[in-house]
Amino acid sequence: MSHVQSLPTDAVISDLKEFDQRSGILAERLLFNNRLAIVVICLFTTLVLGYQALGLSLNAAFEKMIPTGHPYIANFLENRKQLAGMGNTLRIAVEAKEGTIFDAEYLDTVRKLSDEVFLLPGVDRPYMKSLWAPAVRWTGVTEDGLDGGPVIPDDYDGSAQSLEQVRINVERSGEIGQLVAGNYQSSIVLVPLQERIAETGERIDYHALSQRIEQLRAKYESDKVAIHVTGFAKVVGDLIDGLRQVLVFFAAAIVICTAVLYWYTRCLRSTLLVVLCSMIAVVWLLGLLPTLGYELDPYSVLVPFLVFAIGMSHGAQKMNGIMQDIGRGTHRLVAARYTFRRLFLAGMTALLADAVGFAVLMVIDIQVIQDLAITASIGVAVLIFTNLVLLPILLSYTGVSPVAAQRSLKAELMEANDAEHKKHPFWAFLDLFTRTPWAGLAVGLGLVLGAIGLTISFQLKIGDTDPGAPELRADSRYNQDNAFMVANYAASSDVYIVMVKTPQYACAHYSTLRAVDALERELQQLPGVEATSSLAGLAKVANAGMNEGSLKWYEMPRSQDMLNAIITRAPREMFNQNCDLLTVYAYLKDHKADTLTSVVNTVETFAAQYGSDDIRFLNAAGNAGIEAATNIVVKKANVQMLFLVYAAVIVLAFITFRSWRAVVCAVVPLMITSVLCEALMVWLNIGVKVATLPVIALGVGIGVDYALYVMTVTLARLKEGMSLSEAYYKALIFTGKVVVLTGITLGIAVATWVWSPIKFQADMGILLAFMFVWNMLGALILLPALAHFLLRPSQVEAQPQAQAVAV
Amino acid sequence: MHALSPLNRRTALAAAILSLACLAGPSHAAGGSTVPDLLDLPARESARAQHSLQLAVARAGNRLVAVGERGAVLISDDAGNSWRQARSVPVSVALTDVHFVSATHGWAVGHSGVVLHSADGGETWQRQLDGNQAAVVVRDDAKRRAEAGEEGAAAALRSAEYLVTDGPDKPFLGVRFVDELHGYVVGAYGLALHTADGGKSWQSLVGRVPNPRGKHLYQVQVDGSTLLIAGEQGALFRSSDAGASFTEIRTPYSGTFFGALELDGDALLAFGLRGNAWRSEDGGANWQQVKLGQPVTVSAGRRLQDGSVLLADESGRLLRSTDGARSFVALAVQPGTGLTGIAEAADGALILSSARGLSRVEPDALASGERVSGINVSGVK
Repeated sequence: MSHVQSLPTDAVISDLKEFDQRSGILAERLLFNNRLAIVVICLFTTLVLGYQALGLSLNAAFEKMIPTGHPYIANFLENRKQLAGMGNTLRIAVEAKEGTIFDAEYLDTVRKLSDEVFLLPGVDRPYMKSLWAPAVRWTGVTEDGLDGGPVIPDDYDGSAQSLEQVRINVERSGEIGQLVAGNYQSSIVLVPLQERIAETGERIDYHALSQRIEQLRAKYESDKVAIHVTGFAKVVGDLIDGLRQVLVFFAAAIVICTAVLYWYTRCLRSTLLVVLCSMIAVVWLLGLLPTLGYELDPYSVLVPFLVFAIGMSHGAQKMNGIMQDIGRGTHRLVAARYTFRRLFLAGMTALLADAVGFAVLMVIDIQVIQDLAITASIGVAVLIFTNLVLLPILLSYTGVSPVAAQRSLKAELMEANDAEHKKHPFWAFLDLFTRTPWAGLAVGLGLVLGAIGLTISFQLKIGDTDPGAPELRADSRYNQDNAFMVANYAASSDVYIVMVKTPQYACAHYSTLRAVDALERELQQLPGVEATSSLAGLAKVANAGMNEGSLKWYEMPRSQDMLNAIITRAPREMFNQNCDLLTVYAYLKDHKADTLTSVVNTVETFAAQYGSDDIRFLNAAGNAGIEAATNIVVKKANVQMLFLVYAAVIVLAFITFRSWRAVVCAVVPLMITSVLCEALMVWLNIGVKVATLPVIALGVGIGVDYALYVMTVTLARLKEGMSLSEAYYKALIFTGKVVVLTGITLGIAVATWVWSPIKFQADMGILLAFMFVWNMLGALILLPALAHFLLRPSQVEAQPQAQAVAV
Repeated sequence: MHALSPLNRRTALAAAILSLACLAGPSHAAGGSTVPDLLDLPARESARAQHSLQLAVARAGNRLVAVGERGAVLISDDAGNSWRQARSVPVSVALTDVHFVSATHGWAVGHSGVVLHSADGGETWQRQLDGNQAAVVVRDDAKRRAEAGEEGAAAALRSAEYLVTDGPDKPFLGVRFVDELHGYVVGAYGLALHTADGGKSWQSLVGRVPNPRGKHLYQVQVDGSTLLIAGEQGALFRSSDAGASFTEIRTPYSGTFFGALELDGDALLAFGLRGNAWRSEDGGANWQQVKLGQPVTVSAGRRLQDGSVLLADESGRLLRSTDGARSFVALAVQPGTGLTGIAEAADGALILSSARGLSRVEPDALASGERVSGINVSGVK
């Protein structure tokens, strides 16, 4: 991006009449000669989009968070209707704080609660289960054969005798560990959900559902009863609740950024204008999203922060330029036009670099990340209008405070003219890195850090490592509830489902079950698998059950008549109506990548050996299965994305600098930061996952701005024949200040996310803050140090086409 | 037990059409090999075997050998403190019973009509019989009887023919050997065989046991030439001539007996479903019920070396009698639910097989317990 400016930008014109209104490029004339129209159009746009923004909804759909293009997920989506209640089930545990569940009052609470839950929208009612559900039955062996009935008998009346009957029925129901805790102090209301509400066809509003559940919790919790709720819908509901709290951080970020900017400029009116323009950008973004059919999800909700922070940094540059011109005595309109001339293209380049960082995310086949990329791209595009166009125009009306302008000029004069004597200690310190031995020291240290980081980064984990819902914090209500479920119920919270497809009616054939049993046997060998279940296992249990409960009969019966009899009583979770799909459940110890990989590989190996047209073993459903597929996609995308973002940044840098040496100086610090960021993730035990995947792309995309600003000025000065030290010093006092300001502003803005109740937002906050600050340091320390070795003035001259922004 | 149910026939047709279709077009079969039959699939070394279902445990010299699901055979050389898996078992069906006549020679039986033999103390096993062969043995014997014109042999032959067409779908449930040559196996649907050559060849006992309805036979006990078989619907059969002939012992109970023990004198104890335990003083002519306190199925019983009688039930209770099974004491120890078998280790400890593997009960635990039961006088027949 070479932009040689032939227009004058340094003539001090204090009287507007002396200024040639027809000077400047077409865009400038168009914009600045119609200032009022532009302001009115922007005002109108803001009003319209502000109104539109009211319609913006917060949601998180299950499908958007998973890689729908991956074959495993395709298998899951293709068969999900047949997988009864899998993937999206709420489990509501009703705990008796005193005594046991065999208490009339307790059972009454469960009945009322399940009746209310039954009526909630989106509940897949036929498959709902609780102690009161007619489908929850006991069976017992008698001399005459099997006997059975609903766990809560039809003649239940709450009497002690009735309660004793319930206890006996529960004991022989086989629901201990499933619907009833082993200690008899809690029972579960199992609520399968449909993605769309059956009556209306609308998608479930998880937040509303979660709120209804919270109302029920408030209503039924007492000193005798505690309610614990787990399930995807609750996670999403809690996430959306968390999002609302995020607005507080947004406010904090605005205040902090404003304060930093004011500290820098000491001019209230222009500070407020910069904040206003950045806010307008956010309003436009939030208005455009619903207009274009997007909604905010827990990931893209962070984009307005970024847009605001980026806007602040670009706004600060505009303001800085205008302030310096006004300080020199230029009229405010002329100053605004000069600044526009000087910085519009530089700003565009920087914003394009940001956009590249975001756009690269589009290659990841997970919709939330693609939405994040689109949202961020829209945000950056909006910034071009609000902060590169509207802001200078507004500043041309208001000007800056004369005191601040004088202060700015004074500082500049002092720093520029008395360079040899009165360098600001900070700039003087940074200047050291253009010389030996500091340059060597910095490069050496950078390489050592890079090498250490690289070594550590090989331990980087894919996926989540924490138990429960990793989206939420370990001490959140949800994860406490989840821990309760894991402690009291046999079913692990990490379920991996293998789908087994057979021809119609062949699901219960002995040969099918034998294959399923063999698969189970393989899965059971894995250390990460706690237990498995399938129709094959059920057939063994049922065979024993049909033979008076004798464990000697714990084997799959070969007789097809027997198998047919068994399948008529088998629960729906095991096979589908058509009898052409079986599900094999593996309950895992955790959802660590190693565990998931071992299961995936075992199933793939088995399928390769024994799969045929008559029996196909398909990965994968269940939360662990989906996570396994997500991990595979994320792992691949991580490499792909790093490759693309660096390719893009290198191309962009080369176009700007026209010197591969300069490209190395700009990109190596970024790479070291990326490596260190991965090492930090290892250290903080943060895995590569959907949430952290975008961080490095965003970090590199925004980080390259710094290098662009510093390097363009340095190169230009070197070309003028200055020494590296002088050239770099010039760059520091002109753009270096803004780089520091930007680094601090962005760093602080994202660091506020650390307090988010949503764990992955906190993770993203830490990592992005790290990337922004380290990239800033890299651009200020490592870049000149590398330049010391690579960019000697003679070498710059040897590249005649090297051009830079004329500032 | 017909060959094909309607459902089965339909799918067989569908499968035939499908395979024709596959011939026509390119096949997308992945690996295509089928999972071997459990009879042909060697039991695998499994990390889980020690904690999976074990159905019986026996002494082989000082060694203990246990058998269970998926063809698992576990061996302990330290009185049940630690277990390891046998080196080689040729099948993966559930093994239901095991018996050793010496430190080296033993037999195990299981599903699909399998009989396994070990000559090295349980380290390696060879298949001696499977359900297909057993059915043929029974059918051939029935045919011979029918040809000889024995009473009821025609009906026996018809049901024996079904055995052959059904295939190996019936388990053996009990095995006992007298010595390295002579042994007996019993199983579902009245299956009963014996060998006089260490399992090389087998003869049918089906025609000799008066069990025309083919009740399941759960256990066989051997003491010299006396045999006692317990089974479904209160069935008890006894032979005092090494299996040459059997007589039915009529019992007052109509539910299943999972086992029966010969006690001192002519006394018998039969136990089974829903906490039923019945004692006879006179070889089975008269019976009295022994109340065990809970209606929980008694799944295993054994006379210990000290002469006491031990019963194990599905809830994990161990019941011990020192008065010839007239009254029982529930031991304080609870080795876990789903008990299936009892053995005594060389050091006097009890070794119990169960749904969760094997457990060891120290000898001194036999002392403490709570009296639960006694003879119910009204139960006298």
